[in-house]
Amino acid sequence: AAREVRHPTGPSYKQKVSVATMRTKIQEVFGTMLSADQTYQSEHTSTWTKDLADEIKAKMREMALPRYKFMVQVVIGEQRGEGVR
Amino acid sequence: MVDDLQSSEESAFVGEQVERIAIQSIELHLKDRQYEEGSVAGWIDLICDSCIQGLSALNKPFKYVVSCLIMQKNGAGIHSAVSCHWDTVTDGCSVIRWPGDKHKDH
Repeated sequence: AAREVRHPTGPSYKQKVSVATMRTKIQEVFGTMLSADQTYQSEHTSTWTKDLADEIKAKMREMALPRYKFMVQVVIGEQRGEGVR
Repeated sequence: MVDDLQSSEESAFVGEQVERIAIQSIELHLKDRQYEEGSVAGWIDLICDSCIQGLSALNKPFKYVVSCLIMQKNGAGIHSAVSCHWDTVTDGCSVIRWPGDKHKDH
């Protein structure tokens, strides 16, 4: 039987997310929430990591992209010369 | 139309199943190894590949995102957080720390 209806398997061009916009928004969050001369403090870093992830997710939701799901992961590590990959 | 009982078992995110696959993938490549700067990048790729292969083999109607971080042990602290915007009925997330926590601080 011939398929007469075409089902879209992805978002239409207009509804597609722009990686560049996402990157700019994330940089904005870094600008407001991080500073170059911050020192590592174990007690409040765990809240800080969560706040960053939630703030970035909120910015993504502001973009109001239809039908998109978001996963934001934030990792903050202490710089002590260890190798990290 | 799909049978309701069948669809709820086959399209649910089962945390234990996912954790088992992830831990197997990690142990396969990292068991009894020491940190090696030259090999770490390769291990990360292998672990992610093994995870994805194991997860796709479950044949569930899911997309998967696998992230792997390897850090050398030298006493430095690290924190990680995940924030997700998805359908809480069907979607889920598993975070695995390996080797497991021997001392639980804070």
